[in-house]
Amino acid sequence: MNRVRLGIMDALALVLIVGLGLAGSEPAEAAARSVILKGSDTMVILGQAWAEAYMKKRPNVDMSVQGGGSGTGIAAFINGKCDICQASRKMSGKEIQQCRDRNIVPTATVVAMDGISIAVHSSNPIDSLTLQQLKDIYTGKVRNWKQVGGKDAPIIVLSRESSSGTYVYFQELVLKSEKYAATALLMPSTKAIQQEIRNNPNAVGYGGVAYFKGVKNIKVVPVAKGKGLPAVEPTDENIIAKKYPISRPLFLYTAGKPRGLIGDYIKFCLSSEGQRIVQRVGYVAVGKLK
Amino acid sequence: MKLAKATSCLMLVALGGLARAQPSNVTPEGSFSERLGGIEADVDMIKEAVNEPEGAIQTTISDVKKLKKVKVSGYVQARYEYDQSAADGANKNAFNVRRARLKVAAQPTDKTALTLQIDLGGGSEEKSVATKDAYLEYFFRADPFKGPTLTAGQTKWPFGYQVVQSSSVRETPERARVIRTLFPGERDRGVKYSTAQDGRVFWEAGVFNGTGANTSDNNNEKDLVGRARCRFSDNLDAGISWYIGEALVSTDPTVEHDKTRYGADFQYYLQNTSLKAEYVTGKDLGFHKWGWWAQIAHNFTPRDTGVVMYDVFDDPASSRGKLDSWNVGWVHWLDDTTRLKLFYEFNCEERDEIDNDTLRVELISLF
Repeated sequence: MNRVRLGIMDALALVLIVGLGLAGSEPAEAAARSVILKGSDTMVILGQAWAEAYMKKRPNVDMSVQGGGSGTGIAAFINGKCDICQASRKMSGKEIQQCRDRNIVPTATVVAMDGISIAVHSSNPIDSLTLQQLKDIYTGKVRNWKQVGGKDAPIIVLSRESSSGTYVYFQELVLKSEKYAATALLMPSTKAIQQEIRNNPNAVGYGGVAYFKGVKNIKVVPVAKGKGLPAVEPTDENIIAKKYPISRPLFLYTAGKPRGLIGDYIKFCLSSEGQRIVQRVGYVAVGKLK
Repeated sequence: MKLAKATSCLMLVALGGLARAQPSNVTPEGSFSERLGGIEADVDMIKEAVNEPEGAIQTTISDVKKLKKVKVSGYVQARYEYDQSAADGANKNAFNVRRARLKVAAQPTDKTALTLQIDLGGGSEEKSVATKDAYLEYFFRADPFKGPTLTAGQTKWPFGYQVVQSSSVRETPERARVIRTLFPGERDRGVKYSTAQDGRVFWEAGVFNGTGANTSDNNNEKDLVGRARCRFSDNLDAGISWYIGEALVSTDPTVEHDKTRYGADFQYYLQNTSLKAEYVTGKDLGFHKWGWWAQIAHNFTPRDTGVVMYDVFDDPASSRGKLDSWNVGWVHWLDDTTRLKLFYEFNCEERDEIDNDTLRVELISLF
């Protein structure tokens, strides 16, 4: 059966020809003119607003913005399914290693700041919560609003799903890496949390400030770092001054230093025009505004 | 959300049922207040059913959470290999299953995990089934990336880069020759302590039998193995490793020889390109053996990676002396889990050079 006869140069040529052929199967032109962004649901509205404005400036560029959560976006980024990952949390050590296994250096650019707002129904008499009270509510230690100074009613705890960057960030910062209560309802998006709170006087939820600010039937609850300390609202000033205790940066992850079309897009996001969009959508600008 | 939907559906059914159940001779006012009271009672009952631990939904959630504590994964490496060095008349080319791994990992508590991995492919040893990993881990802070871990059982030697790197993620079909020779099977039985993997400086050290996987210890000496890695920047990792032990010669089991290995490695990442190298030197059954490898890999597209690895191994016990190898290949991702690899290995011996180049075409798929 030894019918295969290959010389060294034949084999090398075969490796290169097949390899280059496989690489050539990628639609090069499409890759050069289209950009896929995937990841954080918190950042979807911001990404869409940026993409719309950018496509007006560059009509020959096709931008596609998809959500799914930071974890989902990072997985897609590692698998080469998107050009930019929108993430509301930093990549974990495991994810960075997975990137390296694919010869990718994940490079994060901070493009905006966000205060994770705590929202309740507007009829809820609660006017502030401490970080400890929030932890007790979300770990299931406290189950009735009466225990934190509210009315005698059960607390309906709303959370994002585990693929969400906000879920992970909230767990690390507020829950101190403890587990969420088994009774916490895991909602597929921040929009779903918003809708549930509007219809449920006993619900509490968290999410990007842009989803709750000025929304009918929703009250954003100021948060205090500890008992006896002043409760702070998630305003731009408080987030920039780091007075609001649950604030975080929002990232765009790229493979290596952003260059070419992707670099141009990120430059736009950080430009005065891009940062005005950040403010318009409801997040906090990190760049200078003219 | 599913709970909310389920609650809504149950409420609608309850409302419908109540509406049908109302007697026709009640007054409109009485009917409204009675209905409202009935609805409230039903809603309370539904809430209780949903929220109470003994409720059917909670039981299902609990069962799913238990199932999620057990993860099954694995991969298959199916290969066509053309080997020039096969003796005349013997098969120079063949299909084989280089690795067929099945891994079961369970985490019964936040701080304890168990891992079992078997190989069903046989590899070069042609055994039908072999245990690869069988170890338990204790996480001091419930997350190995955030806190230290204690591992006990049959696990990989904590040495260098390629020994600990999984074959499921390595670009080349095989490890470098120096690693394959000085760390056969890459595993042993013992116990090791590892610091948090997220740390800028990471180290792990352990005590092992020194006899390799699936083998009982044959002496009272234990081997000390460890490595330390520093993350100098987002782009650069570098580490050193050591292995200090004793080995018995099979021909004379009364004589113990030094069994030492020392290593240094680095990995540099740059815009879709990685550069990795590792040097290992040591004493093995009275011989000083050493070798190194260096590899460059570049992603030409998100799905295509070109790889070149240079590999040197000097084994004084070998009649052909130092061996140099070039491994040139291409990796193409067919989808998120499946890769097609095409590699050609050029081998060059110091003395009595022979034709022993190898072509490998491989499909590897993970689940």
